[in-house]
Amino acid sequence: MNFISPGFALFLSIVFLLYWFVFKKNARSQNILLLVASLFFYSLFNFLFSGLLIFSILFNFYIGKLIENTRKRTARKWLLASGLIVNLGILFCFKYFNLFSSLSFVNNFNSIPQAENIVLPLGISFYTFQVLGYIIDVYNEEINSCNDLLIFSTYVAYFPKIASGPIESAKKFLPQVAVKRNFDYALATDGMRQILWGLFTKIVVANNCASFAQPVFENHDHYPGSTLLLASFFYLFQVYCDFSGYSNIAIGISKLFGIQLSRNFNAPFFSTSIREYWQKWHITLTSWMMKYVFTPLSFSLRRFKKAGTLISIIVTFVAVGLWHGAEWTFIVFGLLHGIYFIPLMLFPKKNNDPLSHKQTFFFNLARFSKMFGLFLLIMLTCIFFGSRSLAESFGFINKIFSDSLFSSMVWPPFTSVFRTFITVLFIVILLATEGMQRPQSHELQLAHIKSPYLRRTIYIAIILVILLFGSVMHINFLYSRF
Amino acid sequence: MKLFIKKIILYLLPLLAMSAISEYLLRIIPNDYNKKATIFRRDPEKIKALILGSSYGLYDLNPAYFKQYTFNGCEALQSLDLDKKIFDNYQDRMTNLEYVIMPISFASFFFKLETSKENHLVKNYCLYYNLHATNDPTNYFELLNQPFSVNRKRLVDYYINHIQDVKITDRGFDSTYNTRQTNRQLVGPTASFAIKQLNITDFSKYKELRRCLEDIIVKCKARNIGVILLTPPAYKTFYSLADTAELNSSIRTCQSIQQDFSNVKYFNFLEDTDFTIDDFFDLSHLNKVGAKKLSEKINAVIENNNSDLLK
Amino acid sequence: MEKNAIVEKTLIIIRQVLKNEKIEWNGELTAEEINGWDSLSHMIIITELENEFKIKFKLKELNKLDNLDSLITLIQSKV
Repeated sequence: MNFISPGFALFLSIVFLLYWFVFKKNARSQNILLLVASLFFYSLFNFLFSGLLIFSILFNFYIGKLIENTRKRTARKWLLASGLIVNLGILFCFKYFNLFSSLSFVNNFNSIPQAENIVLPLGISFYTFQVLGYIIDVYNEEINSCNDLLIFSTYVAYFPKIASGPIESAKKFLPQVAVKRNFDYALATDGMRQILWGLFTKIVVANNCASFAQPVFENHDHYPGSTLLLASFFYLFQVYCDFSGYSNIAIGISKLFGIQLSRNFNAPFFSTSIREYWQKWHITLTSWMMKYVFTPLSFSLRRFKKAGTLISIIVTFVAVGLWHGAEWTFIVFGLLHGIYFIPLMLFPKKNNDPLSHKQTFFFNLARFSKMFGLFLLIMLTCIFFGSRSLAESFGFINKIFSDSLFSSMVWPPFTSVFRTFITVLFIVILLATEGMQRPQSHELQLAHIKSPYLRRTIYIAIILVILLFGSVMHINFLYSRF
Repeated sequence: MKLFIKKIILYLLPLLAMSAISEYLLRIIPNDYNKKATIFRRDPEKIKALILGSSYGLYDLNPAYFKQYTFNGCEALQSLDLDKKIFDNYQDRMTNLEYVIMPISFASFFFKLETSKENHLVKNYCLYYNLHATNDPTNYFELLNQPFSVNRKRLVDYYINHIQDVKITDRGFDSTYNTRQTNRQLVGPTASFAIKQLNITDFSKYKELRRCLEDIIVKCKARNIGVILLTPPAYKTFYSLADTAELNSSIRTCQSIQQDFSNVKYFNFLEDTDFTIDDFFDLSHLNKVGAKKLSEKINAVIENNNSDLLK
Repeated sequence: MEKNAIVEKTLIIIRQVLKNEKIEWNGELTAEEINGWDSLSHMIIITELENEFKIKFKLKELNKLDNLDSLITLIQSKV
C-alpha cells in the first residue's frame, strides 16, 4: 500500500478516527491500535516478512533487557555482539547475500547486478538500524531498556516510518508513546500541511523529473552528452524530491497521531560545504552513521589526528554507500562523498557566527558559487547512484564531457520542451520556497504569514498544481527499495 | 478535533465536487465501449449474427460484408469470461439472434483480462456495459481506475483539443488497420521479438475459460442459435515461430468442442493460403482488405448453411 | 586544577578548532548550538583537550555529556 493511493487514504482515515474516537482512553489502547494498524500495513506488502519484523521486535526487546540487567562487562559485550551479529546478519542475508555469493560484486566492476533471487523485506535497512541504535544506546547506558513490549513494538513497527524512515532514535520516540497523546489541533493541521508539501514534491517535482531522467539513465547510450547532463540534473532532484517528499508525508502523518518524528531534510542545496550538506541531507541516516560509526572509529583513531579523522570519514561514507546496497556504484558514491571532505579537513575556513541557529539570508556571488559548485559535485555522485554498474557510470560521465555535450537535445519518450520547462519551473519554486522557509520546521509552515486568506490561497494553489501537473507514472518511492 | 474535521471537510468538499464533475465528464466521453453498449441496448432485436471476441474479431471480421444484420461485439483484450458476461447480459433482448461467431486465438483459453497487466480496461465493462465484471471497486470509477494524470489528459484531449476516441463503425468494426505494416514487421528479428511478447506462460485459466465458452454454446443450443468458432488467419512467420503447443492446444480444444456440441462449427483459417502478405496488418491481425476476405468467407458459411448444418 | 583555569583553556581550544574567536563561554550551551561543532570537530576538540590536560576520555563518558558545564565537570574529575 503506497502512501499515495486511495487505499492508503482510506486506511489512514479509519486509523485516525479509531485512534481519537475509540482507542483514546489511554496510551496503551492508542499503542495497541497503532501496532495492529502497523502490522496490517506491513503485511500488505508481504505477509511472511511481517514474521521477520516481529522476530526483530522480540529479539531486540529481550536482548536490550538482558544487556541492561547484566552487570558483568564481558557478558554485556557478548550480548551486544550477539545483537549486532543477528541484526546485521539478517540484513546481510537479504541485502547482500545474492551479490556476494555470485561473486559478480567481488570480481567484476562492470557487472550489472542481477535481479535478486531473495525479495527484500520492506524497510529492513531502516528498522534494523533503529533497533541497532537502540541496543547500542542501552549498552552505553544512554537510555534504559524499554520494559513495555507494546511500546517497543510500536516504536519499531510504526507504520508512517517503517517503509523508508526517518530512522528514529529510541531516546526521542519511546517517551512519546509511553504517554497518552491528546489531540493537538495545531500539530494535526501542521501535519496536514506537511503532507501537502510532501505530495507536491513527490507527485509534481519528483515524478516529472523521473519522466525525463529514468528513460535516459536506462538507455544512456542513445542520448548525447547534452541530454545526459540535463538528465543528471533531473535525477538529483528526482532522488531528493522523492525521498524528502516521502519523509514529509511520513512526518506529517505522524503528527496526526500526536507523535513527532525527526526532520530528515533541511534545504540541503543551500549548503556551501559538503559538511553542511550532510547535516541537511537524510539527516537521520547521517546522524546514525556519525554516532555509531564515525564517532567510535575516529575516537579510536584519534592519536593519528587529522589523518585518523579523514580515514574515519571515508569509512563512514563508504558505509553510507553500502547501506544503500552492496554494489560498486553505491560504494563509489559513498567514497566520493568521503573524499569531498578532504579539502575541508586540510583547509578549514574561518567561522564568524558563534551560534548555529543563525540563518544566512543574504546571497552574494561567493556564497552562490559555493552552492553551485557543491551542487555539481553532488550531481556527479548521483550519476553513480543512478547507474546500474560502474562501467555505465563512467560511460555516462565520459559522454557528458565529450563533444556531444554541445549536440542538440534528444528528448526521451513522453517528454517535450514544454514539460521540461514546467518541471524546471517547479524546481525553481521548490528551491525558492525552501530558501525562504529555512527557519521553519518545514516548507509549508506558514504561521508567520498573518493573512489567513493568503495562507489558504497558497494551500489551494498547491492542491491545484498537484491535480493539474502531477504525474503518477513513477509512483513508487525510490527509497522503499533500501 | 471538531474544528480539525470541519477544516478537512472544507478542503475536501471542493475536491469531492471536482471529482464528481470529472467522473461525470469522463463517463460521457464517447468511446468504443459505450458506443457498443448503446447499440446493444438500442437495437438488440435487429442483431441476427453476433461476433464476440478479442482483437482478432474486432479487426478481422467486418459486419458490412455479412448479408444479415451482424454486430461486432469484440474489443481488444476482451477475454472469454467477458464474452460470456456480455452474452448473458444481452441475449434475452437479442430475440432474432441466429448465429454467434467467435474467433478463438492461441491465447483465448489462457488470457483473462482481469488478471492481466491491462486489467484497468475491465472498468469499461463495469461502467458502460453495466456488468459485474470484477470485485475490485476501483473498476467502477473512472477516476480511481487510472492515474489522475491519465484522466486529466483524456479530459483535455476531448473537451479542449476535441480529439475523438471512437474508432468503430456503427456495426462495431474497427477499421483503423488500413494498410499493412512494413515487411520488416512481418518477418525477421522484429517478428521473432513480437512473437516472444505474445507467448503465454500462465496456463491456469484454461478450464475456467473453456467453461465460459461452453456456457455460451449451451445457451445458444437451447435457443437454436448456431455457433461458428474460427482460428483466425496468421502470417506464416507467426505460425512458424510461435509456440506450437499453445496454438495446437487452442485448435484441438475447438475441434473437441465441435464434436461435443452439435450447434458448433469450427473453421481453421490459420494457414489458409487465400490470405497473403497484403492482407495482414501485423503477424496475427488482418488489415481492412484481409478482414473483407475473412468476413465474406464466414458470410458464405452462413448463407450456404441449410438448417441442419449448425443447428 | 581550578574550574576557571579549565574553562579558560577549554575555550581557547574550542575557538582554535572551530576557527571562531567570537565564541563566548556559556556553560549551558550544547554542541548543536555552537556554530561548526559537529561530529567532526567534536573529535578534534576532544583530542586537543586530552593533549592539553593530559587525560584520557572514555567514549561512554563523552556520550553522556549534556552541555559545556558537564564537559568541564568531566575534565575536572580526571585532572
